[in-house]
Amino acid sequence: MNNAQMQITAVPLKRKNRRLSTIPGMHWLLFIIPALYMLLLTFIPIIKIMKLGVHDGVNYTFEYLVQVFNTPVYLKVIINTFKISFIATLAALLLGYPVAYLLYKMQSDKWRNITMSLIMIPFWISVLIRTFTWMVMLQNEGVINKVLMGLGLIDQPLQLLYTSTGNIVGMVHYLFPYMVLCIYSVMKGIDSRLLQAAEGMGARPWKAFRDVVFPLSMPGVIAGVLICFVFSLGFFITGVLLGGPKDKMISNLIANFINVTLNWHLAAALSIILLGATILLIAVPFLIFRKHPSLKGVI
Amino acid sequence: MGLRLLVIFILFVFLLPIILIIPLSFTSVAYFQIPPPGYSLVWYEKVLQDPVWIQVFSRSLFIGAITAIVSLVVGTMAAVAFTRLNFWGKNIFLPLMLSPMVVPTVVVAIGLYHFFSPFKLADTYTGMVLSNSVIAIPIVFTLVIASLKGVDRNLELAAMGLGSTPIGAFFKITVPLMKTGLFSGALFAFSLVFDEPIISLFMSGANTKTLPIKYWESLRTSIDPSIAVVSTVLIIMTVALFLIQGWIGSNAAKRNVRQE
Repeated sequence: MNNAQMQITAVPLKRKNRRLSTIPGMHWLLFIIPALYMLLLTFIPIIKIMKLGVHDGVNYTFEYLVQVFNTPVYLKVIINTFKISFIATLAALLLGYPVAYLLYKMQSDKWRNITMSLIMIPFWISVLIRTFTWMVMLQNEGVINKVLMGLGLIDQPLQLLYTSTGNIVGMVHYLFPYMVLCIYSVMKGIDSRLLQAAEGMGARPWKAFRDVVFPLSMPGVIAGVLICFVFSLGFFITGVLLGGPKDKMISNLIANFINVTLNWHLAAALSIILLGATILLIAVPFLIFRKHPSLKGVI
Repeated sequence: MGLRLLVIFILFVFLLPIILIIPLSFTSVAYFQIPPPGYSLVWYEKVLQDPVWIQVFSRSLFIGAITAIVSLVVGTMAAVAFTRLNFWGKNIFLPLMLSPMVVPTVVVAIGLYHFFSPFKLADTYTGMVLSNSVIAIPIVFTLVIASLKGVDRNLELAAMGLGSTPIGAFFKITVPLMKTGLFSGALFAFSLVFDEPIISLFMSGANTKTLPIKYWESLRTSIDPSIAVVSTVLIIMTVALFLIQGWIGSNAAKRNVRQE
């Protein structure tokens, strides 16, 4: 017994010494390599570009930020981006919530998986392709106009493509799966016996939903709204292809400064605004709701 | 019942445009009419005979594959470090690894474009792989962390107790147990990079034009049913990848249940 034990420990020790992994501190490479990789390829480039927005090559200056806020055209793009993002997020919430709620109420695993796949298939398909499909759908002779005219709701085809509506439709299509996943992941944790208890004690389904599930699903709604809003602020593709001339987003303006007018400083100043809004939107609610008991495990 | 109908309607509206593109690619005319006045394979022929589409397609496959491998290695290292090690600055490590998910892609893209220009990395394969890996790593990182949480740490400790080195134990015990997570991480990274437009828009040039860039240019300049053909091919590819991933996932789940 003793002998056998000795053998087991003795053999590996001999082998171990030859291995690279016995060099002390070797396992820290697991942490150091990815950290350096991201530091070098994300953190430093972003800091350097931010610096261009507040540094004119000689001194630190607020000139570019002031210029962005003092030029009506740029200011309009910023306000418009926030406005469109807000509408798109709200629409995604209104469409995503019922879907998440049905997923929660579904009894059969098979149907839940099928519904989930139907939600996730568009999620996997490139945003460019989805935007193109909406270009076809929304055009004057497109499916939407044909259906509306067929139903007799309109006489003239509606101008949908190259308008804010088109842009928002494209954005909502992108945001929808994220919204459903955020809300559903929180709803999944709500004990379904609560709903049964409420209904058993005489609450109608609507009242049971309003008084039990809805308040408990709020953390998911907040997370979904924030994530979708932050994604919307950075949208690039849909504004150009589906939106009109007025639907330029901050991202498009940044790209325009870099590729067309070659004004790196203004592009950087706009990036500061965009990134600043993003960080505020993520950090502030995080700090407020961090201690909230229902968020345990979500963040 | 009303809820069910509403949800069916919502999902229908979101799937319809994607499904309608498929018959459009078989159209015989040069414009988009639904349903098409006639069916033919002219546009498929046109795309297959266009050297540019073929070139950008294979280039995207190549860049996507290399980036997926790089991201898988770096993302897995980070995930293992995050779940298995305790170190100073762990609170900063997480946001650092996840930041490209939240930072608007345009900001990442121009940052890298600016950062790479002194090294002449713009319009090179190295530059494309490095810059695209930045957005793929967070995905791999989160997926691998999720699958590492399902692996019993004691199995690895047992292997080390029986004489395996930590690296040996990791590759012999942990990797086989979480290979579904690794696979879906790589697959996700690949599909993300394969059709990533924004980073490539800045980073690619004449030598490294990828499929999404060619697609984007065609959308902006000359829309014809070739686009529908390319979209159909990509939609079928994506759905196939999705099904493969789901199939492997459910197989793994079944195997786990049986073993228990």
